[in-house]
Amino acid sequence: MRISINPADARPIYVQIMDEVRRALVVGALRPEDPLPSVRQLASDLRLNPNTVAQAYRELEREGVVYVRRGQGTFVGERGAAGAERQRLARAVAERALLDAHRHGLSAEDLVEAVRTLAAGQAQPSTADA
Amino acid sequence: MSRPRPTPLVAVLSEQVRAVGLSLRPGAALLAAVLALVTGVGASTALGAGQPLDFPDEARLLIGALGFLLPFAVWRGEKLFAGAWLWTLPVERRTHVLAKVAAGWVWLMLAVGLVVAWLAGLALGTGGELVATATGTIADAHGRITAVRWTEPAWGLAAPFTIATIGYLVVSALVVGLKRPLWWIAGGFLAACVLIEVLDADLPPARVLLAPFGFVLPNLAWWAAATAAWTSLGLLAVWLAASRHREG
Amino acid sequence: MLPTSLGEGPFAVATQGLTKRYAREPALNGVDLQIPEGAVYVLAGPNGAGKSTLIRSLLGLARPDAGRATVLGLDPRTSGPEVRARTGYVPEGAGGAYGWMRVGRLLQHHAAYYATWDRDYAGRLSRALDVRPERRVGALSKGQVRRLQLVLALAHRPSLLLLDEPTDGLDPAARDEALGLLSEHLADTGGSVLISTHLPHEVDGLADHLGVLRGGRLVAQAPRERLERMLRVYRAEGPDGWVGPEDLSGVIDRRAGVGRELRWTVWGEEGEVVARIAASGGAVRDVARLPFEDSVLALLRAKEAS
Repeated sequence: MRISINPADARPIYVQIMDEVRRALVVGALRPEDPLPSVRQLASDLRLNPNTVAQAYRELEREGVVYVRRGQGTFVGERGAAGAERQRLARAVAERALLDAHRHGLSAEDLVEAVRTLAAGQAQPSTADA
Repeated sequence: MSRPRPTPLVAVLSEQVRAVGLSLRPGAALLAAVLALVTGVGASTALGAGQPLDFPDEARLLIGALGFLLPFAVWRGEKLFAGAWLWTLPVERRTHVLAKVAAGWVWLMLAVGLVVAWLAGLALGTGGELVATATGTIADAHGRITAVRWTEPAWGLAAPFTIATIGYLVVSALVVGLKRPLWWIAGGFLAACVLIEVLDADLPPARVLLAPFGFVLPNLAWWAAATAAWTSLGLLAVWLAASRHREG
Repeated sequence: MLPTSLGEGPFAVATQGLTKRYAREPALNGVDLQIPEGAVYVLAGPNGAGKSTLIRSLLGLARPDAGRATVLGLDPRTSGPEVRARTGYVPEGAGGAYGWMRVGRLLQHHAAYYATWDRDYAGRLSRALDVRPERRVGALSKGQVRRLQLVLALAHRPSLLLLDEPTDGLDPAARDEALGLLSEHLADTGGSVLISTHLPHEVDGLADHLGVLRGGRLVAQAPRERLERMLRVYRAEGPDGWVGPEDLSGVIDRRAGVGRELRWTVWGEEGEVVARIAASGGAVRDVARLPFEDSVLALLRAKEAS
């Protein structure tokens, strides 16, 4: 699992970690019963405050995405299955896009229509996601 | 599991002795070179003339000079008035200064001991005299000056150690307690020269001034008293100088 | 207007009215610093704001003229040695160490002074930061001295780190490595850290508290989440000649955007601010959280305004 954090992102860092874990679940990089890196490991890798990582894990645990096995670490739960997280992630992406649309003075309809047109033009929208 | 606490004094002293020892290595090499040179010159002149090598009286003053120079080497690189490295360590500052002065003194005694042993060894090895005959002036209670001549007793061999100690303490106090010790020493020396020049007519020779509290005296009791007085003064000066840095 | 109190604690470091003058020029002016236990507190401010003086007075290295400090429950004026035994300190600048000593010997020197020195850990830190024991301290570059100072500060596993511009002079790779080691230190000890810096973005990922020092005064201090919730940029557009609400409180910065757009930086509850702007006839187009570094800039400007 490769997690990347962008300090310039509008989302707080712990939310970015949560979203990255979800992304890993949806793309299949993480599956139920897979271990997450330890708080120490992830904090050190990303040069983050361990409390921030712990907060992200706590939130994920509260949502039922992950669970803690005493003395062994944090693992992906059954609820963390790709299907369940897929919707949640889609909502998060849509929310960001909607906010951005509003900032640019566009309505939700404008956005949806643009997305439809784009999707129709590209059978496999894999490269133009920026 | 050890708990964080200020460094115990024994640990401070032993580490300071080791660290100061390291910092004195270049100075020690210089001293050894000077000693070799003196030995070489002395040996070639004295032995060439077929004479033994006496323990030179002047050696004592030269050894005393060691005490004057050492504090500068000990406190090299330690900016006591501008965030010294020493201050960041977990030791009360005055205690720390005193420990470092003590560490330097340990090495001073070792150096003096080696030099004395070397010169004494040379003297004995070539059949010379260990104790010298000296002439000095002395002022009595009425201020009269008399010339005295004496053969130094065996306890005179302790003099290099005490002279070096006193010099070391006084100069350490200056180096530790003053922001610009060299300026003060140079200034003090100049002032003394001017004073002596101005008051020349009224003053007896400098040696006489020193005599009642001198370093080399013909009488054990006098010498012991003078040494004790000067040493106490030196210790007091070091204490006062170190107190400029005290904490709490 | 700006928050300067963090409440009740417990605090690893707390000062009250700390004041220090140099030749009558105040270097610190009534500073009430509060570092909660376990916090990574970033003390930001321009050069000469008094950051180093503040840190030095926490260690008993500078004697304040007024006010008091409590560090790990101790008064640094009377218990300086105890405070320093529990604290890792990276001093300002690269000088001070014994130039004639070899790096390995300086590590040994410190080991002799700290009961809690961890020799293996010191070795690991040295390797990670490429601190080479055979080098002479005096021959090190500024960045190499900084790395050595970080090893010295961390290797006795102190419960408080006081780091005065720790990334100053470090190249990006060394800085990255140092930040990773700090993360590990935090995970291992749960200790508290004060990082002073004039480049806050460098320690963005670690910071959970921010204090802004300017001209010897602590202009603001707040937990990161409060900062992110309260300090926001609002962009709104309104009809011709619209100037926005007259009585908007907590405004740090107000400037004209493109065309009829206005842009405020405000300390306040988002809902209230948006309502105020809307009530004055504007349409709020965008509300954005400030990046960490921009928050610092905004708080520094707030002081200028008041």
